[in-house]
Amino acid sequence: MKKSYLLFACIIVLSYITIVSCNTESANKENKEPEQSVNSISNEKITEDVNKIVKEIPSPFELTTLLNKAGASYIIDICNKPDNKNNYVTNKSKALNLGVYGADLCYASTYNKKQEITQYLAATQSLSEKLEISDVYNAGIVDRIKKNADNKDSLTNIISGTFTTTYDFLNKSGKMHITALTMAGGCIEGIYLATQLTSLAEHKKELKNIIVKQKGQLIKVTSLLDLLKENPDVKETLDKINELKSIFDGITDNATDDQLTQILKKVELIRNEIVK
Amino acid sequence: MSETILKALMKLFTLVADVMSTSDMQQSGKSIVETYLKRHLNHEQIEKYLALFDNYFKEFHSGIEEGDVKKAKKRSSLNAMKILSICEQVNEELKQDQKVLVLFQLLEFISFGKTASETELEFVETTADAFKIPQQEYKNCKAFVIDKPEKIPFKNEILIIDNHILPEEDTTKHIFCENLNGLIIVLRTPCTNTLALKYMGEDVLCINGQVIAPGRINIFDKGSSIRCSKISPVYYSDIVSKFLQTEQKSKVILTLEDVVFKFKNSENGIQKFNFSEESGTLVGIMGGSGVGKSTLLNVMNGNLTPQSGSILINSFDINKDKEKVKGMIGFIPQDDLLIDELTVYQNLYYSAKLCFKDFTEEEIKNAVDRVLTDLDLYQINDLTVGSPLNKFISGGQRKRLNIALELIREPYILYVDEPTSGLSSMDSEMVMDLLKEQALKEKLIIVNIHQPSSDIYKMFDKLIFMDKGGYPIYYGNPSDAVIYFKTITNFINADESQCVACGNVNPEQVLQIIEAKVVDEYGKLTKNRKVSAKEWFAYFTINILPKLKKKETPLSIPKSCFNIPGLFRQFKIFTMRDIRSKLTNTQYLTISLLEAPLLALILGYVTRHISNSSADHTYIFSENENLPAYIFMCVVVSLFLGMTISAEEIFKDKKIRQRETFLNLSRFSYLNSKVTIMFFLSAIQMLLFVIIGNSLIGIKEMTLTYWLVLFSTSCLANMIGLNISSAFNSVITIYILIPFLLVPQLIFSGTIIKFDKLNNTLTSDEYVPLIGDIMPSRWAYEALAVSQFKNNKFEKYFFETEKTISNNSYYADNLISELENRNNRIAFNIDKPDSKENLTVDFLVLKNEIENIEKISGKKFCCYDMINALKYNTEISTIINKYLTANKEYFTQIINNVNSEKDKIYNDLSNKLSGEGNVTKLRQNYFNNSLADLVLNNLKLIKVYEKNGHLIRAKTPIFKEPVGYCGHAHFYASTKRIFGNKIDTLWFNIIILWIFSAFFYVTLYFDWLKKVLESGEKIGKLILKNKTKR
Repeated sequence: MKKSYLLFACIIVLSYITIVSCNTESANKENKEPEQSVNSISNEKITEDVNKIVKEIPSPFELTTLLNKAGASYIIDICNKPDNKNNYVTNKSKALNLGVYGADLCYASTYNKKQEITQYLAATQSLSEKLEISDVYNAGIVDRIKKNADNKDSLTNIISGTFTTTYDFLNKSGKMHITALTMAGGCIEGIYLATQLTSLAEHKKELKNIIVKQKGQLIKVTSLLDLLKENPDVKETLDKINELKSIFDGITDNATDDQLTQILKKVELIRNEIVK
Repeated sequence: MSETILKALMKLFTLVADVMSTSDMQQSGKSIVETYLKRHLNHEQIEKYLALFDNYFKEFHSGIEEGDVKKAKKRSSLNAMKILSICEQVNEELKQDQKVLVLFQLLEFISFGKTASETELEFVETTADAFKIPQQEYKNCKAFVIDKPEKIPFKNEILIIDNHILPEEDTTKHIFCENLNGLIIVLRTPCTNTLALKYMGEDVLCINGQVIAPGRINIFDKGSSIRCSKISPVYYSDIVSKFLQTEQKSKVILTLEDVVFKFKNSENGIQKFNFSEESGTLVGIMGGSGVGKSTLLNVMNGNLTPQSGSILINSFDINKDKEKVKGMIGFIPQDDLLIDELTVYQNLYYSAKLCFKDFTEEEIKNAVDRVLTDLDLYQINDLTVGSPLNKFISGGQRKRLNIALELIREPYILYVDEPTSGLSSMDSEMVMDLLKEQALKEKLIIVNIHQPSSDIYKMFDKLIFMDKGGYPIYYGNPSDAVIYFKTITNFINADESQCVACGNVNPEQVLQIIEAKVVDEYGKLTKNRKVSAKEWFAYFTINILPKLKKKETPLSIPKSCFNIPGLFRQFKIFTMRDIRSKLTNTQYLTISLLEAPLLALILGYVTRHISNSSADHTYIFSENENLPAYIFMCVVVSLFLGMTISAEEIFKDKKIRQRETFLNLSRFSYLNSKVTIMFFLSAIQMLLFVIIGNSLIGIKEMTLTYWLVLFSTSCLANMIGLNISSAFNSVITIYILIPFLLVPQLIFSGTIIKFDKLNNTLTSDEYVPLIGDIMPSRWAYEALAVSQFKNNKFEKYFFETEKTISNNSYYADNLISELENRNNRIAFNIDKPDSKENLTVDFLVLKNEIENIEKISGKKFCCYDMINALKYNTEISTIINKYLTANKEYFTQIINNVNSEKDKIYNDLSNKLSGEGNVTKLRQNYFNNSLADLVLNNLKLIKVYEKNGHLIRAKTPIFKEPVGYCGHAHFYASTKRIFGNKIDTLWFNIIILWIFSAFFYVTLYFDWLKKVLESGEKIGKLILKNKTKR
């Protein structure tokens, strides 16, 4: 009899332990969620504004198409290396570099560089997955990109489409700060590419114009970041971009060479900070 | 005399006594019986048998009235009936030689103290007849017992021993014995080889220590000797050899002259050995363990070559005139050399077939039957031999079968190593009897023996004692051995060679004397021997060696029927034998035939995967992601099966092979038979595997291709397996080794680990690395993957066009794009400080690859000399870019053209199959996407990369033309180039697999692996020795 009591007791103790441990696990999960939801519900107005600004900011294609038209060549060395994608650990760096790779992808596809397109596509896909935006890159999109590799227009459309869906997805799931950081990354990479290409003597003038035109985009990005500056990551990035913006603010109509060099140096600094 | 014989005798005596006289028969008969018995038995036993006699007598004579002549006649005919019935009983109980003994006793009985009457003789004759003793022999016996020797009708069955020297023309068999008073007559009864002797003279002669009365008949047993203080002993073998001499057609004499053999790095071996013995002798070699008995046998049979001295058969040296003495020597090693799976008959049959080239099937059957009967194996001829653990025949029968295997080819000299070890005393005696019989049939039998029983010991005609270090210490008659050793060590009654009472010799006593240990002061035995081996050898050289006479050797050598068949005949026999033995082993057969289909079933079932995205959950071949895995597993299975079925083949036959090399049978034929059988088995296995596996996973119309590749792979694995089974000396090692051989096959097959992802020291960029090229798995896998992709019913329409498209698209999209990148990079960086070194590679690549493009497109490029850091400028950059763009357009144009061609093919196909839906179906049934991804390298992002100043293509390897000559190519190349000819990968790889097989055949034939292992072992030992020395 004694033995069976002991056995019974053991069973009860064991089952209790199991139940408790299961419960604590689920409790932990529950604890996490409200934090996120607090953020998302906190301010509906911000969401609205963010969505509005996001739609206004053009994709990096706009810039890279201009570069192409200006006759600038495709220099792979100035892009971020696709292999770097595994170096990014924090959400901030992932988000910023997703923007960077997006711009690089646009650059490669504008110049119809097939190997580079696949590589940057893989890089953006990898970072998106890490940021849990994997839904955008279903098997269909990769196939579509492959099939339309020779048709630049549809390629542009497809890739721009992925950007839009990415931002939509992020905003809907309350990760607007990721959207903001990604856009900031794209913007910085765009300006960086353009400034780097000026080191080649030819087409310098056209490129200078293109760079100056980026001011508008910069303003939109800063205002987007400003809306979300409660997030420390966003705040940090905003501060840096504001430094760049102040240089742009100094430009009236035509930028001087000195201003251009300043921009080049500043943007190089920020960009290298992002991709390192 | 045994009880059964005595009883039989008593019965017969009663009857004889009955016929002796009618009046006082019982009394006179009884008194005769009594005196007769007195000579053989002690007092008590006499009483007993006399009582028995009385009993029998009453039994026979009850109800017979005396004095009636008619009745007496009747009675004698009644007695004849009784004789027959008694003889019948006796026939059931006694062996033939015992019956001969009874006959002698009867004859002696009736002639006891008087002359035998007619009726008595008649009566004995009837008995002899009933005993199935031939008339002739009976007459001989009768004359021998009753009459004078001159009256013996068949003179050639008698032998006289006396002290006269016979004139040469006298053909009577005769042994001259100095100082013998009177004469000894020996009679042989040929049907049983019984020797009876009668002494007429006054000396006190002893047979085995028993005094023999003159005029009495004595049976002279095997191993007996006649001794007398005055004469030198006469041995059984001396007498027997005299009788055999006349029958003997050709005499063989084995002579060893000062033979010395020493093992390398060892004192052990054979010391200066002399020996000369003629056929018809049974020689025993005795000695403690480790004294070199087996070594001596191996030296004598030619397995080991002595350092000095010669071994002659007649006048031919066995180590020099091998061809002359071919078939003369037989050797029966201690271990069984039987094929376990065959029956007793088959074992002998194949052995006979391999020995007698000229025999017809009938003759071979007769020879086998004869040996089976001779060796008393006939009743078990249909039994499978079985392994020592799973016995079907007894140990004694095994031994006899072993002997039979040698005897069937009738060697003149037969060496037998420890024939009695592990056998019961009955079996031992039977085996020894058999050997003795062979000795009597004019063969020279030399036997190694460890602990013979007294009877066996006495059977030997000659005995050699060996002592530690290979010293011969005695050579001579076995009975004398005891005396010799006793005398030297001063034993009491040294001249008693055997127990006086029972006639037993104690051979162990001799060994004890030889190895007797010195006792220390505490009475404990020390390690030191009283007489060391060298001292014994010294005694031997003084006492025995001088007496040894070298026998006169005839110059000629008898011809032997032994004649091994030609290579092809041997091959056929080996093959048949192997097939027979495999067929009997049902376990082996079922497993090896079921293994392949079962594995195919598992593999096919497991890999038949229905993709989740499939609409109506039907199986679609093209969507199955497991095809590459399936192909890889097919290769693994073929390697595994091939290796395991063959891994034990040669090892298993090792002992039999040893014997067969002794017979000079061809290794070439043997290996060919093995290889043929293995290949045949592999062919069946792979066919079953492919049929089942492919139909399960849904590979259609590729059975022959798969079978061809997998069969070739399996054959290669067979060859590897045969190599290891020939080189290693234990089953465990062999099976431990298999994973060691298989795992690299998996690793370096190019599937589990891609060749470009191997450790950098092993990879090669342009080609499959060397380590991959030496793996059969890689060739087999590639052959299957490539032909599955290329030759399937769908892709075969498009392969060529797709190839052109892919190649041109590589130039246009990858190569030229990469060159543009590099040109841009140069332009971008050229003015920067220390850019010069960084750009060298880019300049090199640009130059090399533009040259390459020029070759392909035929568009001339103007300014190679400008592509360097010194001359490069914006202008040249533009020129390059323009040149590249022009080429890009050129290639794109080709792509567009071929694309429309492809569309046309597609449309034609769709027309042919009546509908596009059918084309899709065709694709679904024959074209596998996963495999396509693999051979097209779709999953890899980098399609082109730089190495050593060249750009290397990683795009669509199956479409890429191989760069190397001599078949050197990248993985999944669809063709291989060899001396300017293109060969389809499927055929090329199959050829490579067969070249591998051929290579392994050569290594197998010369047993290189074993030689390598042996030399490795030697080196290892040397190193160890040096280390221990230090």
